[in-house]
Amino acid sequence: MTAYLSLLVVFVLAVLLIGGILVLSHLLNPQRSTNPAKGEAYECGIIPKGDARAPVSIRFFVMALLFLIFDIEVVFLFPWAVVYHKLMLLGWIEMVIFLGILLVGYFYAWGQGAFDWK
Amino acid sequence: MAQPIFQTLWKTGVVFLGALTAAAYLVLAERKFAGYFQERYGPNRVGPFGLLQPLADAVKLLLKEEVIFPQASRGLYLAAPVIIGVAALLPLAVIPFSEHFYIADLPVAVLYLLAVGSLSTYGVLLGGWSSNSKYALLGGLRSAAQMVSYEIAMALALVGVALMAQSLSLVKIVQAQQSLWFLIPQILGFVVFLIAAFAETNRLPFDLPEAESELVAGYHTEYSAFKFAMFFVGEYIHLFIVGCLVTVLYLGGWYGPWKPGPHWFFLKTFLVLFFMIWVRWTYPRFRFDQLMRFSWKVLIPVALLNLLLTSLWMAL
Amino acid sequence: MWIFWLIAIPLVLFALGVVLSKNLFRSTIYLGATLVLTALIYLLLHAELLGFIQILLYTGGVATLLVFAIMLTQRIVGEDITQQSRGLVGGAIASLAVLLILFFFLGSSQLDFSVRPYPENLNLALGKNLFVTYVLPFEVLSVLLLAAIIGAIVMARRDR
Repeated sequence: MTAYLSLLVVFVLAVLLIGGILVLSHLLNPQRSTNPAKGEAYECGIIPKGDARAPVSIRFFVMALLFLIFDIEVVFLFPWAVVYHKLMLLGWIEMVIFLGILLVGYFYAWGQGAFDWK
Repeated sequence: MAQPIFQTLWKTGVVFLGALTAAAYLVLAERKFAGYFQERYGPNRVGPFGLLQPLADAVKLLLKEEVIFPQASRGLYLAAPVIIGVAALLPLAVIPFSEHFYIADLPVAVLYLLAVGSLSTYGVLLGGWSSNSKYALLGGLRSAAQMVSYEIAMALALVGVALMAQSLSLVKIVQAQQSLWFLIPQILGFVVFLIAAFAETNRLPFDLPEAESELVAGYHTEYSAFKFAMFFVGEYIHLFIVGCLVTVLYLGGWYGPWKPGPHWFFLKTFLVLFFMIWVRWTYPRFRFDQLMRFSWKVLIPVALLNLLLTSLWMAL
Repeated sequence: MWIFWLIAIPLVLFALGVVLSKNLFRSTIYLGATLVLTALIYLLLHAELLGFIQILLYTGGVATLLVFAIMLTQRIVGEDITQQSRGLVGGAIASLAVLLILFFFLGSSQLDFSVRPYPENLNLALGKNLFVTYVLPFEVLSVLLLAAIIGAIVMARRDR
């Protein structure tokens, strides 16, 4: 548990450091901006039109979904890697089955063009 | 109990100060090397060889006018740089700089690194969205999609290392490399990790989130003064950490041909960082579709192959 | 013990933020914070692997997914979706009831709350459990994940 106490110390110090720097910069600030143009979204001089929070392509969503699924797979690989030297062949077969089933999905996604960004 | 906390405090202080200095001088190193690569001098006005340039930059950024964007979502807009900065500093807690100098030795340090890395994705998305500006939002989205795609390849490469070290603790991983650096048996994993690291740090062949020529500056377009600097510093701390990690995971950490010690660690880290700067000023930028395809169709299969070969080799 | 409260109180506040915030994006951000704090509670319970996996998958994965989903639906609906939080009173009563029931049963139960000694190497013990004792559920899980991949692709294709 001491290791986590150290982490807590690190976290608190990090927040204090970063927050401190930002507060310091705020206090040292010379003036508030009065020019309304400074508050406009920067679009290289063109006056911004419409809402910035424009809709995004569905590809981003599919990408995130695939990431999540493969990330779950990877998460299982970590305990496997630690215990592998005890299981050896048995562990190898287990993981090959697990990954093999997932690879079916991977190649399906590939075939359907999920990785091509058109 | 009081002793360890006191020790942690001074160690953390040293590491944070070191990392901030490293980040500041990495910026200078990048500009200097870029200068030499392009046959010019780089910054050389402030102090001898421009060595005081980072100091001047810091003072300038501290004194710049602060624009708090009126149509931004104020709370989240202010929180984003803090999250970025904190998430950049947190990985330092588990990096072993030498056999005895580390803040914490977690038995699951590798997962800790990945988890903290996903926190910084969060900061980027937050910064991009809360600014309420088109370029910032696009940059944030791209960055999130890119980090997410390369994280899997990176994690798969890490599994290979964990497999050989039989542990997820960074100290144990370095100790397992006493006789043979993982660079040699894990050469495939090393390449995958290095490429993914370029993408995770948003550096040049993969710097689409902040591609100047199309997005102005990406997710931190609407930030000024030291809030902008926080994104910038965060990026360079991140770079420093990646250099450290490559050293720890593949280059044998503090071990060297002679007496092991932190000097080896820092020498190797510097070489890795030099390489990363070199690449940045040598290669052009990927296109977004190439970037996505590369991660999913090349890096992930290669990382899986590496895993298969490593585990087979260990079983035989 | 004070650490627990240090985590639990902001946890509840953020959770309320998720439910009560009108803006979906803010809701998601609060959800991310809630999930990170939950992970910290896992860490307190010595479940370190679970704790970091929670942060990795939920904050890194699910929250990103939700952000993309929100932006995607804005296109379909054509305007910002606000959350109305209907049935606030009913929800409050229901959650209060659940809380009371939990208090009542946990207070009167005969569960063993004593802390058992932890194995020397938690990761190793967990790996053994997962890959020796519970291999079958683990392998079946891959089928579930396969179904998820196919589902994701098919749904995205229908939209095109």
